[in-house]
Amino acid sequence: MAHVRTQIRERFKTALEAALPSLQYEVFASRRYARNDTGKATVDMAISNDQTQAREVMGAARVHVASLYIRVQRGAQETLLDDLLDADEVAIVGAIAAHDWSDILEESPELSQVNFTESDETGIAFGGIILRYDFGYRINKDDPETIIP
Amino acid sequence: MVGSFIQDDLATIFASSEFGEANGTVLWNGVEVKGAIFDNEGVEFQMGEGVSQIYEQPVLTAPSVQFNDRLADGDIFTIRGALYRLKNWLDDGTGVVEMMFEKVK
Repeated sequence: MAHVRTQIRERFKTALEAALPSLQYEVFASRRYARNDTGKATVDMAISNDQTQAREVMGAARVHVASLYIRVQRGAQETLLDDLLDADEVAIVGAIAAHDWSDILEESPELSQVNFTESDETGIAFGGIILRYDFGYRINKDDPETIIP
Repeated sequence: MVGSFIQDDLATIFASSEFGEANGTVLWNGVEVKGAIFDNEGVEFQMGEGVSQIYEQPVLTAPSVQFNDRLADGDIFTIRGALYRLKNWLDDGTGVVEMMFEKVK
């Protein structure tokens, strides 16, 4: 088994790959660094923080609340870039909303923040939309690899 | 307007026999640009909270005399068979203009 956070990132990747057209998006379950543009939107993700909440139950069970940042980056004609990034959000939000998370998360992930980034240094403009999802999961404090349903 | 002696030097530097693109391979709104140097270097760039990307940075450098201050935002250039849209340009005041493009996809 892998750490539950790893399992959760893999589930996000699975959910996104099932919903996003493979000719238009390339999804990674971890953060990516420098890469050559492939013509597809790059979707990568990273959990930036993971906090154990106050003990809510007797015993060793703990609820964790974590934030996952999903980044979608693409190159496009500059006049189209913002429209495409908005469409990316529609696609990502739809994919995550349609997925069944009941066996791994306490409830469906919550979109809590959206940021943007961009660069116009090259022959096409590049932009990114960063979606922050917060979610909770429950584990035994001594076993970070196993979800408590 | 720069002196003719400078224009002569530029014509030599930008000639296709030296550093310039082959004759007939650079077009500005369909009109041939005679003598131009094209750089299309792959560069890595940062986007703040994002993945570094690598993409070409197309730059065309040419004697400015043939443009007569008529370059305009959005002009279409054909270079090595590909289409580019003029984004911005820098005229150095000594007879050379450097142009930056958006690649037409």
